[in-house]
Amino acid sequence: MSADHWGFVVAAYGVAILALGWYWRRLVHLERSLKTPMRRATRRRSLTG
Amino acid sequence: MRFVRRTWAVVRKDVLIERRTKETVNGVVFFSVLLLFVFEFTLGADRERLAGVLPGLLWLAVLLAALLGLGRTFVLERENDCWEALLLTPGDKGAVYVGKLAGNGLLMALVETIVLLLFTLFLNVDVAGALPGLLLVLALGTVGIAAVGTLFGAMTAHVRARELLFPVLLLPVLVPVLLAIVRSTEALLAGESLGTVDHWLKLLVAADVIYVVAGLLTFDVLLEG
Amino acid sequence: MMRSLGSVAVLGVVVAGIVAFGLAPREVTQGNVQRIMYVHVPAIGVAYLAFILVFVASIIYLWTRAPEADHIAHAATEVGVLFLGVNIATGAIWGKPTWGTWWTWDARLTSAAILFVVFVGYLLVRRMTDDHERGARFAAVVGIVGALNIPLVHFSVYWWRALHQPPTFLKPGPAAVSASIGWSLLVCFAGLALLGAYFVSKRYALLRAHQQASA
Repeated sequence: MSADHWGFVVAAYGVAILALGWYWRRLVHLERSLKTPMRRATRRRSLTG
Repeated sequence: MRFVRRTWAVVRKDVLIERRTKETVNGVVFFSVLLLFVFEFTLGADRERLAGVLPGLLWLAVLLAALLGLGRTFVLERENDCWEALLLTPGDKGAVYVGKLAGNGLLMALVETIVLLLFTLFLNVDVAGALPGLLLVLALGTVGIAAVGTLFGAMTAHVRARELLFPVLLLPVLVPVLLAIVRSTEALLAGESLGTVDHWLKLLVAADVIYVVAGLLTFDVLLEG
Repeated sequence: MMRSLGSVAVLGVVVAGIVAFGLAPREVTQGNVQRIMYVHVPAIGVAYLAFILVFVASIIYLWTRAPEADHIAHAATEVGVLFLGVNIATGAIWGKPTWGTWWTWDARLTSAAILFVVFVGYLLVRRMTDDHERGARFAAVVGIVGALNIPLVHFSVYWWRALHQPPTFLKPGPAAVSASIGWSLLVCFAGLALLGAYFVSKRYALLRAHQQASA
């Protein structure tokens, strides 16, 4: 009966979740930074237009 | 026919420039000699170990020297404002690619000859028996390295950190070719017949075909302003 | 549409997790450490799909110069590199208790590492070329050559290792698996693939929006 090494299993899944989660958050940040200047632009246009 | 003539024009130009300035050849040859000394100093005492790693060292020397030479393929054109001249070449730019590839191949052949000679003389490698097979491996490997090196050389000529990006792009792509030539050289120097490295040779041929065709198809795109 | 794909992806990942830990059996020879395979193997599967997409999109981009094709190639490379990184990291973590070292130059890890550097090169070329359109063209060439190289990498590394590894590692693919492990791998692959698909479409949309905003 071989040892289970649950520590390593947790570490592996932890790394995966961290990496994938990091990328998800990066996408959210990129989206937010895109939306902000656009909102300002449309507001400006509606003010002048 | 025009293709061949244009290709030859490119090769002639580069060979002439190189013969007059000796810029690239000097640096590359000097570097190979330096490597030879380093290998002897670090591994020379243990003759057996040296013999074991010799194929790898041989190709390491060739590769490092090639990196120097290949990276500079288009630097002359870029530095001397001749890039537009390349762009103005009528028709298919493939002739420029093949011409540059041939020039690089010649340069690498020169380096390989010198490295082989130096290794034979100073590190006591017996190459004689394996020579025909070795030459085939050298030829196939050189085409592959030159094909990708020329393509990426054109690409990185215009990139900011060229000296950094060129090896980073080139070496991972060349790993299969490197594995093939080192393993084949190892087997041939150990006295095996050409048949035993048959699969490696096939891989080299496949790689060469893939790289040259890809180069011919995409070179135009890299030259665009 | 994007949000529902995102929710489905999260659902897929959760289901995969349940299967990996709850439903999949405890493997006989390795023990529970084998469960790492349920993220390690699907990850590289998703990475391969991504790189195939990079290959096709890059060719289309060079042919048509449609920026959408470039955005797809760019997004797919990012996602491919991400999942490949996960594959390599989880492979090393699995290797430590199993083989005793973090890194062995076995065929799969070595191939994955080479591929990783190649496609990181794609992202580097984009970043280091001053003109955006030129960077896109250069990256497309790297993507095409890199993808064409994948079978060459596999064969060369596999042949290289075949003489030095015990029979367990002779096959390039995963070792023979039982039916329940096979099904579990499939479910986990589906879950990760959904996540990958969501990432690619989201990144694509962001790239397109960014391009249109700066136009």
